[in-house]
Amino acid sequence: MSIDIDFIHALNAAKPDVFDQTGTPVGTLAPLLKDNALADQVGYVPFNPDQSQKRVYIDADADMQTLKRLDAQDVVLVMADFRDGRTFSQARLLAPRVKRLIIAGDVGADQVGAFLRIGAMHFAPTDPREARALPKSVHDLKGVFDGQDKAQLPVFQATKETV
Amino acid sequence: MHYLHLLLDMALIYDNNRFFVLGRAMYQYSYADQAQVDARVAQFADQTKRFLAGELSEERFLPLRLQNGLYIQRHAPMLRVAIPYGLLSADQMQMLAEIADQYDKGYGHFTTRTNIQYNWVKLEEVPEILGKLASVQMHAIQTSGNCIRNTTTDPYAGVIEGEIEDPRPYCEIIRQWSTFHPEFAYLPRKFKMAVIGTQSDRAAAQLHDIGIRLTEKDGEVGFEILVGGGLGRTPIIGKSICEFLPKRHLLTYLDAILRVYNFHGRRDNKYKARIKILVESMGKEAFAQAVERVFLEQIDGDLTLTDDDIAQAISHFSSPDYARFDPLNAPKPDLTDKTDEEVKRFNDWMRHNTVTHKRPGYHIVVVSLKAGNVDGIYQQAGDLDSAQMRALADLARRYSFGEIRATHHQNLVLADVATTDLVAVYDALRQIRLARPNIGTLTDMIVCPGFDYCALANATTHNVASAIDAAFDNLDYLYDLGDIRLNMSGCMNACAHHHVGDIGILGVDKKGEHWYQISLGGSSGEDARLGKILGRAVAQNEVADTIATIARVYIDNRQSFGEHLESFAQYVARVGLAPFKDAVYNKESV
Repeated sequence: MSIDIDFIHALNAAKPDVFDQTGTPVGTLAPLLKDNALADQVGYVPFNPDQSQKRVYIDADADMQTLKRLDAQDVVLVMADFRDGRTFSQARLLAPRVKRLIIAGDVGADQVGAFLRIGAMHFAPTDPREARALPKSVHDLKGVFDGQDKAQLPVFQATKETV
Repeated sequence: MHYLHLLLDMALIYDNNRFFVLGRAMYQYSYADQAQVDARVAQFADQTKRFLAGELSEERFLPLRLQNGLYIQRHAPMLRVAIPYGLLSADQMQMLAEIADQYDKGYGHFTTRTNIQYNWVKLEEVPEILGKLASVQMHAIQTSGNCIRNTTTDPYAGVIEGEIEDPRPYCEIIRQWSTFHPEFAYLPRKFKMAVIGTQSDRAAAQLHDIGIRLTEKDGEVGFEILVGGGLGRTPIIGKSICEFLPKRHLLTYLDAILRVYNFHGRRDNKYKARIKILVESMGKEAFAQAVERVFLEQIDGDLTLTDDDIAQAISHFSSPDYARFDPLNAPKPDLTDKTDEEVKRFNDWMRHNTVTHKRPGYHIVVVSLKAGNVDGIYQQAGDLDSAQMRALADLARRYSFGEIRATHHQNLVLADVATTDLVAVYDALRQIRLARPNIGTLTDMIVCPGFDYCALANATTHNVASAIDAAFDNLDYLYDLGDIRLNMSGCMNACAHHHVGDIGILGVDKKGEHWYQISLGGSSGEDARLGKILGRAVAQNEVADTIATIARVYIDNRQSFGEHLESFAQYVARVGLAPFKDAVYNKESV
């Protein structure tokens, strides 16, 4: 797995704001160091100066087996194209295992709700229009069905209030 | 007539000195459902506003509007409204009529996915329409786009003899699991599922991305899972990858299939992106193993269904309050006031447009949306105008527990009509041109909107359907031909399932002219198979004659076994294409 070099440049140049789950900006995304990213086949990049913490940048090509091998607490899932839904599956696999999951790149403000339900809590959209819409869109579709857990589906809930 | 609403889902009607108690046997939407559709309306209103203000690019708005059922068609935006597994309440039908009048040209079009489409809406009015739909718990969520679409089922579910179980509770479970599923909103391509509960397949389950067949093993009911079926450019019959899945694992297994598809389905070419291509390229065994691996990692997790869960889901689909009739002395329609001609017409209708109900004293009524040429004007297959919608809603309230169903053959069904009410229902349907006694016959055609409306279509369909309808307007001849399914699509996307018609017609463009390729021998039933192309395409003005020639070859050569006549499908299976080719392309030899 490697990350496309042009996309690295674009992502670094954008210096996108990172938003948390409430839609509040909490800083900018640290630049991805291309040499390290490309040198390492699983995309490890030194993040903290002491290099004791590793931040991992992962693009959509990373498959299930690669993600299972991953040992990191700080993961950035990079969307080169907002239509590439593999990132949602990656996020669902990783969310229970990592401390911080950042969805960065071409992520759309209207996709944030789904990622939040999956468990990704930080977003760094590179498109400024999406960044502007995000603080509002994080509140969309709160309380909708959640197919990840049958307990969230109303058909199985004992209360039979109807409208 | 007086309506006394006791509850929103139940009403007492007093009419013509009779009381009708209405209690629906369909899933009652909860506050969670209502909150969800309301939230979606608010979200889409904001998205539309951002798009119109230039704050949302065309590219990004596309999947958002598609997942709200909004297409840009040849003349105007088209809005596709979801009818989950084809079930509609009378109140919902009433609202569809109101929307047709207020926001469209007074009609709607029922589709093969058992949804309804409005072809003339205005983009800026769509949020308002969605608001109206939400007031009756309807929506357009996931009726388009690369996501999990409306799950379909047998239109006779719960009322037909021979079911292993009623498939609707499982459709509802799948509806809730798949609606807004956060992992599967941006799949490589659209994704369709069907669930059936009988050996007979009236939902084309083998032609779906996932076909789910209720089955029984050692006294336990579970599911057979088929994957990779579909039509379009690359028609493929689905393959069984799990012969028996215990019920408790239904959602876990579906989740696993979708994850494998989401990770590995092609995204570089939309014509190669459906799961059927992935299954073909991996091979059935390898695909099944990949699913099994993911399934076993998730087994007994959050998606596991308990017996109580399943019982809870089933409880939403209890039988309505049927009147009790003596099975040995079941009532018959009262035709004493009818003339001989009227009796014949009614009997034709009853023979072709009603189906035996599992409950003695009741019938399933199929409402034909294939009126054909009426006063010289072709009534487009699957279309229903607002007056018909209102009348049908009223009929459903009075005679079928307030419920209407849509079929993938583009007809409607009143599933629970007392046999003693059949005459009244027939008379009322006849008045609104919905009682043509042609169900299952050659004029019960599935026809897509074609070039007249659809931006994808290569050829017109309605003019050709009109010509075919005119060529087969003799009912006696039509009945003599027996069951023949004719499906006509205006392009290779195959919205009208032309590959699986006994006779399939595909419109093609040849240097700006519309030509039509004919195939024979397809089936969407339990014996699903793809039709074979007869030969070179025929010109538009030759299609009806060609179909007439094909019918004549069959009539002249079919075999009879005592009282049993070889059906068209059986004849084609026995003799192949040769005699048809000979008759169509070497006309002098006929």
